[in-house]
Amino acid sequence: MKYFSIAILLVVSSLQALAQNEGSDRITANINVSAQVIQSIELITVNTMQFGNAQPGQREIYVNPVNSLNAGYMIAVGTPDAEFRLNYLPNLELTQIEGQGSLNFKYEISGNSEENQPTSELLELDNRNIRFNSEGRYYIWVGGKVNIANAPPGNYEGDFTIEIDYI
Amino acid sequence: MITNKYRTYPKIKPFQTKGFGCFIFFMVISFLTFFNSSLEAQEIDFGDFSSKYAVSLSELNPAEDLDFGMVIQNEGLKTIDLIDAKVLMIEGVKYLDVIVDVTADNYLYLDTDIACNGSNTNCIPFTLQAAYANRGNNNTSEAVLMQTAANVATAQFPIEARGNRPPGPPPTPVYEGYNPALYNETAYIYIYGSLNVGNVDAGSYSGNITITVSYD
Repeated sequence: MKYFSIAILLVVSSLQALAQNEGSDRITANINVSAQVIQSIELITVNTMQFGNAQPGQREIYVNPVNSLNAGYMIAVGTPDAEFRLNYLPNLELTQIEGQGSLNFKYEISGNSEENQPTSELLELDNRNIRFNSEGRYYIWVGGKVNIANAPPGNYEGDFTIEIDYI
Repeated sequence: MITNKYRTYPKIKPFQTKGFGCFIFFMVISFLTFFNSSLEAQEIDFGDFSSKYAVSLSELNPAEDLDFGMVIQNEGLKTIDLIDAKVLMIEGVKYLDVIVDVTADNYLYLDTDIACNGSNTNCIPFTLQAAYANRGNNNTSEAVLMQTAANVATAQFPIEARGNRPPGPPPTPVYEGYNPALYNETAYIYIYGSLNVGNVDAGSYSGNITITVSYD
């Protein structure tokens, strides 16, 4: 009988130890992972800028981006209502295609959230933080001026770089 | 002839033989040895009684998600590094080991739409990384990377690193007037990782990470 008592005591103490193991605290926390995916920006060139033919004795060609039909026309497409920053190099050297001549061109850009050139606003250094409209579009017109007083006759070309980044 | 009338003979009764008692005792000990896990290893496991001690888990900045911010379609790999990780704090008895499991969704889902098969345009693959620091400081340069497989990170470590020292004394039993602050320390968990942003739809993506902590 003595051995049975010892056995029962050991079994009971064993079960108590197991219960304490199972009762150990386990705590849980949840955190959220998030990201906001925005549409990549596309810049679509609708019309290139046209200078037309310079007249003899003409010293300067000016394409007004706000009201000239010769202005280049581009559409930026991105996330609706997202704010973005627009940058460009205003001064560019155009090189003669067949010759050594060059011209200094000074760009001017106007922009509008509506597809309406006459109401577009010149984009200066201090107003280049702008916003896509509710359809994710922003309209850009490109013009500028060039002094051709001392330019050799010929065709000239150059690249215009415009950068648009989300803010 | 001399007859001893008073000679006595042992009375043999069932279940009271000395051999049978030893057999029962042997069987009980064998049963306990095989079936009681607390007797299996030669390990001083102070955590066996850890249910008596509190452990807490909290966020350093509760209002903040693990936020990748604004990402652009087709941006590719976007990473939150260890130094910018989401920080959680474990406060518990510094002598005890904790087991930490961090489980993350494999994808971030667009507007919580979880219908994603890996090639849909409404989910972004997420790769979890995690680390911990248990030297008493919230310092990522002291962080130890956690092993991660299939977006589950696991580690076991003492609340306070022991370094090369032997294990500390057993925890002070809880008694009346017990002040846990005297025996507690804080360890830090860092959650971070990366997204692989492909040609997915624009919008708000989110996923969930579950952190579970228990004493060993």
